[in-house]
Amino acid sequence: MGLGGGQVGEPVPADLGAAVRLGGEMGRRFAEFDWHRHPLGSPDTWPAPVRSVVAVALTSRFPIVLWLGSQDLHLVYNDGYIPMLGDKHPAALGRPGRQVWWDIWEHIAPMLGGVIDSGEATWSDDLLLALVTEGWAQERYFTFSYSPIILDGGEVDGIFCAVAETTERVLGERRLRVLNAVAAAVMETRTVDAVVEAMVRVCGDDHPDLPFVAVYLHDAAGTPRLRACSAGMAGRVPDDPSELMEDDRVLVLPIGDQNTGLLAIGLNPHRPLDELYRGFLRLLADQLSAALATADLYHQQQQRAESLAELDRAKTTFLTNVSHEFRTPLTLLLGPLEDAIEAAGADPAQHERLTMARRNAQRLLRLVNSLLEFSRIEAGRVELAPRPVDVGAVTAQVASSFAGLCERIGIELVIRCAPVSGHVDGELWETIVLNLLSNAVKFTYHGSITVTVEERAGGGSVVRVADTGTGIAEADLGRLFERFYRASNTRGRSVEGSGIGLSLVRSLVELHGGTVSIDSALGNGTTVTIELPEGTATEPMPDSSGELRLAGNAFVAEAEQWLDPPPPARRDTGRALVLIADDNADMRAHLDRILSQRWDTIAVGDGQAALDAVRLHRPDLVVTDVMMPLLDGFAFVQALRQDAHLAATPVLMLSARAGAEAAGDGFAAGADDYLTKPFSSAELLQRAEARLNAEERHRARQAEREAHARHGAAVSGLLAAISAADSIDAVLAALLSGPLAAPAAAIAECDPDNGHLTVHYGGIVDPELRARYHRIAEDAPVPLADVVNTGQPMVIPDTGAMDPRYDQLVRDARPGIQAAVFQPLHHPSGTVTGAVALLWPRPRAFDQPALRLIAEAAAATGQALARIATAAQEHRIAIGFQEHLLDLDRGSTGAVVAAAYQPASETMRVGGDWYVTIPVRPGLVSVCVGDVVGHGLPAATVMGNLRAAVAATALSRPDPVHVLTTVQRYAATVPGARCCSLAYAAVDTAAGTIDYLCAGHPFPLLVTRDGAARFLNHGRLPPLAAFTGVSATSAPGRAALPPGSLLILYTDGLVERRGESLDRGFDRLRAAAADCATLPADLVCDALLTQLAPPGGYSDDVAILALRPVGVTADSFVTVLPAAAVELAPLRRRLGDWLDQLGADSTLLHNVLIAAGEAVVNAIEHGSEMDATRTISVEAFAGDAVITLSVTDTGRWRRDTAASRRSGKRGRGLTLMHGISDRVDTVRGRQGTTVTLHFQRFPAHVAGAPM
Amino acid sequence: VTTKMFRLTSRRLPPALLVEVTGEVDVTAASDFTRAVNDLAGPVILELSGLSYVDSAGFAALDQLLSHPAKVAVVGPDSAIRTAANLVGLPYHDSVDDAARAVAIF
Repeated sequence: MGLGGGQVGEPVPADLGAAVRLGGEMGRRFAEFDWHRHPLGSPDTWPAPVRSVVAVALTSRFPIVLWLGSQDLHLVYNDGYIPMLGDKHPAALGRPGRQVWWDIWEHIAPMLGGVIDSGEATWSDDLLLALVTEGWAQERYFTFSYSPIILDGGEVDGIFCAVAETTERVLGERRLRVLNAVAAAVMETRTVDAVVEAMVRVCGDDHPDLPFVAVYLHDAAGTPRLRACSAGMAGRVPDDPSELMEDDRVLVLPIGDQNTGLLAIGLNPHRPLDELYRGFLRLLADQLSAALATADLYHQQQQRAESLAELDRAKTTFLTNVSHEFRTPLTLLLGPLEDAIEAAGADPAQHERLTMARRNAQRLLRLVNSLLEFSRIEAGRVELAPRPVDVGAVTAQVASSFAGLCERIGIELVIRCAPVSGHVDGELWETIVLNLLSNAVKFTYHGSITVTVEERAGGGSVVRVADTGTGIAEADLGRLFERFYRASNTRGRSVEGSGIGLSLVRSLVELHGGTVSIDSALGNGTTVTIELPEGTATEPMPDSSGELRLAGNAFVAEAEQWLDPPPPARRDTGRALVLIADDNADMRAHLDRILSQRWDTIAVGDGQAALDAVRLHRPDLVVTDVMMPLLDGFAFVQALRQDAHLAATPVLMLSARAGAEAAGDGFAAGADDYLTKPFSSAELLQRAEARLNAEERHRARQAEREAHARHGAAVSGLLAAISAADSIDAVLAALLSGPLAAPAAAIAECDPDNGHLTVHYGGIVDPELRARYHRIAEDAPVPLADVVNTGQPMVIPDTGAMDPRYDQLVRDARPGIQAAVFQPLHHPSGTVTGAVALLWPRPRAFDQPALRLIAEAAAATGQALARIATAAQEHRIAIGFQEHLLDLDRGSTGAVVAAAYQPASETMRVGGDWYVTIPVRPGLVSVCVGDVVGHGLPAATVMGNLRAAVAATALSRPDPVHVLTTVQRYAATVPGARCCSLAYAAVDTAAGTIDYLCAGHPFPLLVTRDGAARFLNHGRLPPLAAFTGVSATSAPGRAALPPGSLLILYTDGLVERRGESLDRGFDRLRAAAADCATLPADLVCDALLTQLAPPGGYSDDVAILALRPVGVTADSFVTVLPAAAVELAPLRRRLGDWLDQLGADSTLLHNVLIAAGEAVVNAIEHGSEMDATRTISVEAFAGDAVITLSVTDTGRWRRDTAASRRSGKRGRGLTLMHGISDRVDTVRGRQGTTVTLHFQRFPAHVAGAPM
Repeated sequence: VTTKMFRLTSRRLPPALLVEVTGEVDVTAASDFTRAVNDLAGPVILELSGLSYVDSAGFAALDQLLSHPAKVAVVGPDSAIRTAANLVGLPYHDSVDDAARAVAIF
């Protein structure tokens, strides 16, 4: 300690004294510092320029640091610089720079040295320096300049540095970019899934502040469920976000309101979670919330639009039904009345017509009434006039009005009504019961209708109408009470109805304070239950039977009209025959009356009956309604037109639907004419006559001839389809879809090797039958075998009448097969190769034309089978060749090799492109990729020949000129080898050189460690054996192949695209290959194939081969080992040396060695099955932040075998590998499995994997 | 006992035998290691802190050896194999003293 001012250790020279006073904390510390014992000595001994710089620094508010002394660069800094030092302050004052900034010394030492040596200042803008702050390396950015402190003599004696920390700005900018990208990506999204997907995709782009994101959305139960996460984390993010909430490496933020979900974000391990970082993540979550809310809103709007559309549909349905309901009665009013006016007499017929007119007038009235009633209820205008009555008696009375009708149609009407008092409006109650009974009659064909009334347990009454009818499908059940809703596909006596009956019933019951429910199942009848509240039966119950008669009759009268007509009978008078199809009995009678004046008639009540009648009676004209049960008019006409024998029958269609569109539908269905209700009798007669006159008959004959021609076309179509079939299944499909009209077929193939028949089935065949008769002995008691043996066809109209020899088969085949035709199948050479069977489920008669057609189809089938068998054999052989060719020899320990073949399409799997590797001797491996003209077996043969020639020649003498000269000569002798191209390279991995020649082939591509990719474009030759006039020798190309570089050979399919210059393809390849510089060779091929694939897939096949020589550089380590455990220890030494030189600390080094050791052991044990003749490659690359190490074997890791699971050894190895690496990627590739381990080079504060 | 890969040095630490293991135990050395340790009778404290490398086969061998209640292992906080030992769940003591107490209780 010296003298002077208070605690000041040394006297501060006067020129610094002022600066010390103005210099705040650092001024004080500078003054207190014991400079006397410091190598720089007392400040008063410092040169004047240094002293003045110190004064400037101490008094400045800008962060400034001085590095004093050209040797050790001792630190002097001001208050502004303290935040940069963090916990290194205050110890940093006066200490050598190397000690203070040990953590970034490797980055800044060269800059500092440069300034000292040259005196030239440096400028660094936003430089990333991983300062160790509070014990861990943080990502921080600085902008600064080092400038020299020059002494009077001109020498540099220190460095002046003004520095600004720009971390906040740099991070702010890059975070803003993410927010912008997310905003842009979610802008167009409309669904929750799309929002989440866009969010995860944008955030998954390896952003340092978002190592991963995971989105959890609450399900209906309020439990958060993982919806999506960054691609790299799939399977590693827990399903339960609460695990993440406890992890300090992850921030979990709520999104939307409390019920929406959570956003989990991995945190940047090199940045503290400060307010800015947290704010950024909140903004991200807010963006997600907003986008989800928008998507939700959009969804709701869409639903609203859909319900409006539904309402609109209901309205249309209503109008359509009402129109039909109004127009038909209208016809029935106008028609008879017109007749009545014409006849103007008083005979019995007149009476009948007038009854009909009255009946239908009543019906129309009732319909209009119920519609009106309904709308009045809807509008709340009905006034209930309830009176105390005996509900049982009233109900029984109404129901009994159906007794007569039920008796006639053979349905038992059971009425069990106990006396129960209640308050009902007599008229409305009648409507309720009549509606229910009318429905029951409509849908009941057999059994009974039961009406019961009983007292309800808690008071009131229960009324049930139960039928044993067709029932209602579950899907329709819930909607039956909706207005205008009519159950679809329900079989009823009539399709008439507006769909308001049940809806009306419900409204009326509810008006009475009751409830109505319906219980039904398809085929099991329907029960409608009405529950009415208790009545206050104080008054006597009056008898109301008299008032009910009229209304009841109207319902019953209408129901009468649905009854099935008596079976049609032809009155054979020699006149033309007209078939009438209409489901309304009145309408049917009306039509019959008009038409029977001129022609014979048959009347039926539905489309199916009409079709049957047409087949049976062959009428000259059909007059049909459109809306009918079972089969409507359109379907009926369509069926008629599809039947070759009936197609010519003229059809006149009647419908209540007006308008050109409805008529268009009729014509489109195949009707010849169309008449809209209402129509007059004269109009109908005129139209019918037009259809039946001579000219029309001629047209009908014409149509029959056309139908015949159509049949002929179908036959030739069948034969063409069989001939074009490329598989047995396709032949079967052709047989089934054609004019043979068989629902099932079988083809039996002889297997000459074992005397069995293999049977293939198509169409509707019982699976058990298929299984039992899939392989049959040639002498088995089945027709297929007999037909093969005799070569004679068999025709079986009814299997029930077959020879007892076939009893077993007949039993097995029934009931699915009861008729069949068998034909032998012949090879073009004449031998029987099998048999074909056409099978029918019902006995049937076969006429001669049908049998002739089957014989023709069998002949075509025989030829098709012969062709299919030849093609299959050729394909098998060619694939065998291909697989042989694609077998890649990876025995060389001089280089890592990988190759891939991509066919243009599955059907063209064989042919074209090929590759081969030839380990000539240790340190020398030859590779070759070639392209043979054409595809298929001939191309595969040429390929095999050329490959063998290249391999054999290279083994004897690998230099390119020798190999190409020999192969050129050889190719001239092989048909099909002309103009084939190939690229050949001899790789000397010891010398690090490659000698190559390309015969008409695209140039090899070389990617060096710095990521530069260039084509090796010397050593050119014409394609093999082409342009023989030209000298076929050329100087080979030679290039350096430094360790760690990558050589790629390929065929033109990889770069060629239709309508594009080849240069663009080459540029694309070069760019893609440059990105592969640090990929393991095995993944390079797939990466290039994926990246360069044209939008619609490759149009030509592609072969690609990648080679990386073994060797070690500062940032790469490549080796190939025999698959043997003794190689492990030496590998560890070499890998350890490389890591040492990289500057890896002991933890990183140890981690890499352990994980790599496990990967290699796995490759030896599981990938190579301990076979030391196989090889394992190790490719490691050191990037700025990450070391990747890939281990590739030549086999496939079997998923944990039972033995390895038992020992627990394999599991422990995987645990170590995954636990110690930051990431493990496993790719099971074409020729082996590649495991890639990733390690962070920064000794981050987090040990092990982030999860 | 010494092989190319690992070395065992033992001294008495009554009632146990303290065996210091150094070097590497990998798949090629695991069976030698098992045999060497199995040859030692009585309570054994395996001081593994000095090992520079143990792979999954080595840990499998240790797993088997330590199933014997009279054999315990020590992996110090600064040991190179500490992380791996934690990952595979190897039961160990932090120091020889801890291990000696455990053996004494046994």
